Amino acid sequence: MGIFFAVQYYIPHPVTDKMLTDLAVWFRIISAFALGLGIVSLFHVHFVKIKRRGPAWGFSIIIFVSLFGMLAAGIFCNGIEVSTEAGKLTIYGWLYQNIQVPLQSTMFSILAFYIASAAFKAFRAKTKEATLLLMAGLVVMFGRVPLGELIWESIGQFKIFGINLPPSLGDITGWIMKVPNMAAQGGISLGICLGSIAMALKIIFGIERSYLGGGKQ
Amino acid sequence: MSLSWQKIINLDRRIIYVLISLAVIIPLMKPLFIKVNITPEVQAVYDTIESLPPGSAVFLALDFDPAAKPELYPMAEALLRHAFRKDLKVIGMTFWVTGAGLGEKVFSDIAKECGKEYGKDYLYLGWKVGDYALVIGMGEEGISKTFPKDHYGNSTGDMAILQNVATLKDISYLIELAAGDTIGTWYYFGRLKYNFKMGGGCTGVIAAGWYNLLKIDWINGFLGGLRGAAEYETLINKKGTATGGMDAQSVTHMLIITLIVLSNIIFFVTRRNK
Repeated sequence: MGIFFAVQYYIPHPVTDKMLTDLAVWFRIISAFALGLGIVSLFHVHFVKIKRRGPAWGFSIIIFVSLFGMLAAGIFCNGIEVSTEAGKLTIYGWLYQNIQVPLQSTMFSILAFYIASAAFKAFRAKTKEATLLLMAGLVVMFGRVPLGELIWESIGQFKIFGINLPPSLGDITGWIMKVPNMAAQGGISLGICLGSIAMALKIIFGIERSYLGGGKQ
Repeated sequence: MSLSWQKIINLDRRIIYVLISLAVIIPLMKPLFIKVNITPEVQAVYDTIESLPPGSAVFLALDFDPAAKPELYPMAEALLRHAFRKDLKVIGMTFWVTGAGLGEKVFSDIAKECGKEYGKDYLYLGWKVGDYALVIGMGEEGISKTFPKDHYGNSTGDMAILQNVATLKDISYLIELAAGDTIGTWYYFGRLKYNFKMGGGCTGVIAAGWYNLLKIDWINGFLGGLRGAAEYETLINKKGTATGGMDAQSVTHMLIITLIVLSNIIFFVTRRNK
């Protein structure tokens, strides 16, 4: 299967296209069963945790309440709508918009506080590499917000031998993002791709089987 | 002297949290509306949509969840407003089950604002299990065969919008709004096989990695983080939450820069004293 998926790209033909379509249908069916399996697994793990009063078992109860609450709202409420300030919403939609959306957004927003605190406590120019990273980070942080650009523009520009100095902040941050950043990202991407190909080949030829579970092969 | 430096460096992190809170809240309450300059990446997405003739099909992949809502939702709003103004047909879907509700909301809200008709001017397919197999299905079998029902459970087969947009081959431009690595799925299984143009938008965290995608021609432009969304709002001349949020982000960035510079000055001073 893995070999077919790789090879079909190099053989554009109605036969390979048809095979790809059929495989895609199979994949969708298997994915649907995998989703069911995931729910069963989740249920099993947390049920056992509650039964054995494992660490933080109270959170497992919250998982069940959330899981079955949303399921019940979706299945049994049959599209009943409630009026809200934002218009009419189904009960499932109301739970989603008023519980899940704010909770997830809050979780992600908290990162800003940790980043600020960690930057103050740990971001030091201790080595040459750290200094380089620090300078690039500060320039990009300064240059990627309108307030930074406004401050920079207030300095003004003058011409020396037809060259505008200092260059615009957009040009400086653009150069950092498009030259050194892109070079580093390209190197990382190439490494990941080569690693992925090696791993894929190991899985296809049965050399790597740890993903099937169990101990070391 | 050294003791007071030490006091600053050992500042209670809760004070930093309060400062960050104020840096976010005050600009949101009293916006400065500082001018946002347009970057070439964002201009490229705008120009592509601007160049499409009315009636062309645009596919909007909303691959994010509520965690990325502050950055990507304003992008979706601005892009939809632009597409609807240009009388383009827009089809949307998501790979993220937890983002299906956000997609539904942005499509219904903006379509209502622009007076667009569901099934004729736009279509929201929602979420379905299948990942890249859905892309292959929409490219090979057709959109209505892969999604016989839309997000609301309506049959898609007889919808007017799909009469001229049967498969992904009929898409003029696909815009991927991503909080993760789903762009690879759209590129490898979509753009490579069906040759549609691709642009995108992503969270600020992953924006650095997307410059590479520009270089290797996966996408022709992209909106990076809240800044990208604010730039797009400026281009379509409709200020939204991103433009308002940029002031908060500006002040927060300046505060973090000040904290980093201050902590490094203290670091060098105390190191020299030792």
